[in-house]
Amino acid sequence: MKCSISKEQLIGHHYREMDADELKGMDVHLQECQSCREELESLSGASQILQAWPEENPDIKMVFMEEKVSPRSKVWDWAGATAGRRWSIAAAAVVAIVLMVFGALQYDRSFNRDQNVIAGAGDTAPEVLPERKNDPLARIYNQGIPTSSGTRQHAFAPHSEDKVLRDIDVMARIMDEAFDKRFQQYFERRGKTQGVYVNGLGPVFMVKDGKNNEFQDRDVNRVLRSLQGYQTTWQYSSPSPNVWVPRSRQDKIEDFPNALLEIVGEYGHTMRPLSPSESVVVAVEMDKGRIVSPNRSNRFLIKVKKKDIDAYNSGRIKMADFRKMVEVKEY
Amino acid sequence: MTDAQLIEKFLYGDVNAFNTLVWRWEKSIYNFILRYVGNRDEAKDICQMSFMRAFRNLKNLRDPEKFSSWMYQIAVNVCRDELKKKSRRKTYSLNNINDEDDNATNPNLKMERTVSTDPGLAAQKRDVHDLLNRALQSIPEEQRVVVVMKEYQGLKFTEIAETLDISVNTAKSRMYYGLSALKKVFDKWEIDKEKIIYEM
Repeated sequence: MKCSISKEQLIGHHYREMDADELKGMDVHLQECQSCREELESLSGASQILQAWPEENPDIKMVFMEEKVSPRSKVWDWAGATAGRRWSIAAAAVVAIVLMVFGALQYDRSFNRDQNVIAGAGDTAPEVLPERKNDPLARIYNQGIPTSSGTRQHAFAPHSEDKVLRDIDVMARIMDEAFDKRFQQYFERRGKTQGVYVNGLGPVFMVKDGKNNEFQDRDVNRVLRSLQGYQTTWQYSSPSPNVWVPRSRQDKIEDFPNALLEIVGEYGHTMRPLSPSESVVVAVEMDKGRIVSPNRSNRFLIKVKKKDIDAYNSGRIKMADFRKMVEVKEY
Repeated sequence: MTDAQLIEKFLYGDVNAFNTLVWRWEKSIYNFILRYVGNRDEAKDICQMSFMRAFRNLKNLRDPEKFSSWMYQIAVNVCRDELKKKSRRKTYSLNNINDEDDNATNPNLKMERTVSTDPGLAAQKRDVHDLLNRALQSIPEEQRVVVVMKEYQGLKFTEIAETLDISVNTAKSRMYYGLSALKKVFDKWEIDKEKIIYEM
């Protein structure tokens, strides 16, 4: 610039953000100063080019949820809730989830799959994801944020820097939410869904019914053992193509796999870091008292490949075809 | 219902009020982050992290009337945290661009080729967006954040200054240098507004 006009004044004039008097003075100056006119034209040109990039839709599904807890619960302690009977009512009432669906998580090739994985289904006890009780975000999830109305708002955030582990956590929360919506009356899940990443297989999620709902190492090993060379044994009692309508408690239990695969089909694609050949496994263990037929196992699992989940989610295949690709078995 | 009213409802225990705030602002915040960090997947992650941070800290917001500025502030902080973590990522500077071989790296040439072989309007638009993204990523971060807030979010300089905790004059100064730098990039790539409009 060859005159006394500052760059701040030029910008102020370009965006018409300056005092009225100053604006007038600038207008007068611009009539005389070609250098400033050219400068402004240049700035204006850049501005106009930038406008060729309109707003994009974020394609993010993000829902924050809460559940009321007893106002008497001055200090909420998740571990206490699952262990002690006096906490059981409050525990059943608390569904504290932020449902976060990661629209797109880039596959991070740098993920070191030798870490935090289970080596296999051998005798070595698998390593379930740590509770992360010392993690500040985990504490927020477990304890919630008290509000003036006696409720607690719970937030779940991606705990891990690692995308696979983070997705496992998120997917577990999604399944918690879905289970509570569909099976609250029939399924006394008072613990959190847990997930582990199994090297060479993919994530395995475990949902357990009843009082003792903490999965132990032996539970994980049982699932993994059953995944070796099994055949589908579970037959759907009444497959419904798109709509899942329970008729009775028994039918509801019978339709568990159906509902489960709908959940996996709907949300499994959020686990982007998985490779197409990896599988998502969900194992469910129900309280024995809920199984009407003595010939039926109270445990079953479903296994579906990530590529099939993606095909269903993108609309390339319908639910009826997707169902055929899902392996279901009692174990 | 205003943002302030929704915040009040949220603080009284109505979590859906916060969902309404999210739905109201997620598009703006996402687009701000997208232009700031230049990557759609990262922008989605950061957008979610920003709202999570807001969810946890909303009770600390002193002036509910300024929710949007506060939200942008959070987004900027999360973006900066993430950019620091990923500082290994290659960044472009004007010097680098000037030093590069025009025929090999001029994205304008690439765009022309793409347009001639791919008649799809969506593909053309995506090329233009990628081009502008590259241009934005080529200017310094402190200028880029001001340019994005002004050009895409339409914030006033007083709001930008408050959000970034800088003076209004500094905000204007960074805007000037940012736009000037972008103009140089566009000139180097032989992009002008007529051409962009034609491509769109």
